[in-house]
Amino acid sequence: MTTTTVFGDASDGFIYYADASYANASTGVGGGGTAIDTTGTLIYAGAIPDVIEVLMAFLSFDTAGVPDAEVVSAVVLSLWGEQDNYVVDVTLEARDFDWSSGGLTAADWRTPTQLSALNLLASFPTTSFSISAYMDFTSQAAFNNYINKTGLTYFVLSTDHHRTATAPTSAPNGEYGSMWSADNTGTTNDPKLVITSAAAPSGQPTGKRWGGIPFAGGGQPGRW
Amino acid sequence: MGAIRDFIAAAMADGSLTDAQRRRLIRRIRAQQIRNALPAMPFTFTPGQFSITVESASFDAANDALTVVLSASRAGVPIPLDNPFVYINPPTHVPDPNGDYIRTDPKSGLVATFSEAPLLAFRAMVLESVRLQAR
Repeated sequence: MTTTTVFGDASDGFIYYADASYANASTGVGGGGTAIDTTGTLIYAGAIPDVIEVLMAFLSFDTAGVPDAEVVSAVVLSLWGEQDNYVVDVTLEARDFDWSSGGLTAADWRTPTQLSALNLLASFPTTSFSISAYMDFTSQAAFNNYINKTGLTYFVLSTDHHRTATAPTSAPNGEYGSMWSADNTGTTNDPKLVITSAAAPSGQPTGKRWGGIPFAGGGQPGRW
Repeated sequence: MGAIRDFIAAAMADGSLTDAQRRRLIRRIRAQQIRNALPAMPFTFTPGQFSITVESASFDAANDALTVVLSASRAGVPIPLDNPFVYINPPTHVPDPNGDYIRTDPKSGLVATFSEAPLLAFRAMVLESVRLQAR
């Protein structure tokens, strides 16, 4: 058994769209402003009601060091909160989305429809949001097969309200929060992924399988 | 600036590296520098009700990772652990109100300060590993 802890890659970041209309902001139309940030200290997920700003985070982890010959049996995503503005509680959702091509760009924004089409990997209720300890997301079985053992593993982090196009109620009922992003120096608040793996029993496939979730890179069928 | 930050800043500024090479070099610097900061092994520390012994720690050059073997107990009761623990991109800095590494968030204006403290970062990281497996 091997327990591999991978701290976040500093290419992570977030995108927000602001607009008078929630329908516009949630689908990536930002008449009131937009930004793509991969250099800041924090990542954000949720919605700010007074300006109608919708925020979505993008995470990456260099998982190439996970032993290629081993089978992943468990994955835990952990984030450290910085500010809890979830007056209305939501569920944070990490979904399989490879945003690596060209780095983080506006094209990576996911609409509610697009979010719904992605596989849920892990979730966390903001009722338990913490700014003093790591928040350990509850993983889905699909997470194990999603780990890319030959490169980086990418996710999008949003909320269940965004996925279901549920507009926030009036201010000040915010439903957003910030979490620490990864830094090149590495801090003890950086996002982390804990991956448990073990040698495959003889004759057992160790990689991704046909019919499973494909590699993080590109939606091609996986390998045995 | 701390020594580790100097190494990382040099890697960031090296225009001859591809993104993948730079990522790998930073990963190596972090793992190596933490290994170099550790005292003679085995050594034990006792955060809260945990007692954690670092039996061995080595730099894995093939994966640019830090490989650690741990034993631990909580309130005197041994905790079964899935050894070895492999750390990729391990942290080298810890939050510190007096720290000289300043990160500013452009959206919120939050200013956070950190100190380069590889041994403290290692302890926090290892405690997290034990905490997760002791659940």
